Amino acid sequence: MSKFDPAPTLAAGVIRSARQKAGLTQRELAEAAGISQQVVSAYETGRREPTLPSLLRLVRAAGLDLRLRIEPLDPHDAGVAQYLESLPPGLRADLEEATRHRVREARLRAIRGR
Amino acid sequence: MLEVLLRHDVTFVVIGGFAIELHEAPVVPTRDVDITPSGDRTNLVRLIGALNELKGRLRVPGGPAAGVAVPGGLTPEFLQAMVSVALVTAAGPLDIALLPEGTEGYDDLARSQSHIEYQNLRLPVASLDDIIRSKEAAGREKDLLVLPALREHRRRQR
Repeated sequence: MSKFDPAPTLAAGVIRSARQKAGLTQRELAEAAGISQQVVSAYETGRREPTLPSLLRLVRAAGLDLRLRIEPLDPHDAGVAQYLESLPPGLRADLEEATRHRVREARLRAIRGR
Repeated sequence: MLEVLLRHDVTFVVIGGFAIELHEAPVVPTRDVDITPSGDRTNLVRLIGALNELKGRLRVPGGPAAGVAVPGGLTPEFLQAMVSVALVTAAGPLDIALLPEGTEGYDDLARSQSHIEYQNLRLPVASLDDIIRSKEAAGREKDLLVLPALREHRRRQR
């Protein structure tokens, strides 16, 4: 997986975000949390899912804290999905292909260092 | 859609997933367009003119895909009373965020906006720093998934 891809899981995104905010490498974060670098890597790539206590431990090892909030469900994405489903199948397929093309192009630019 | 807003002289800045795409970040774009308009009444009147041309209707999950009419019609007072409005238009979904999370609204975002050419349009786009700031404040799952990639993209651009 490219390091420019979105995080594969919520926990992966939280750990990577905390580590980036603290300016730490995976190895440094692992040492601060008292776990191995391989485990941090597995969490960040979504190959393993940490327990909540492990997630808290990693975030705190980065000198940060994790707060959980319970909020009403955000219907935003459901509304967009419903609109897309209402489109004729051909148009929807064109949109999806255009999206795939744009992402491919953006990743190529990132790889080429543009 | 944004061509119509520009033609109506609406003052706005593109934010959200489409702004991320305009910054050429290699993450999957969202399928809607998010903007933050200037909240002054004259601008909102122009925005309403553009939305009427675009046949903008409220996007209601579970409601009709074509949206529902705004009760009493779109007015500056209606928009000023809202933090955000999700619409479906003849050109696709459009979200109007008067006060995006973690920001103070249009003036705050306009300070560091840039202009990006897209399909022969010169679009005002929120800075990557502001987009990241807003996503950090929102803290939704979908934000936490893309934040690392956005920070990496910003680092490479510097």
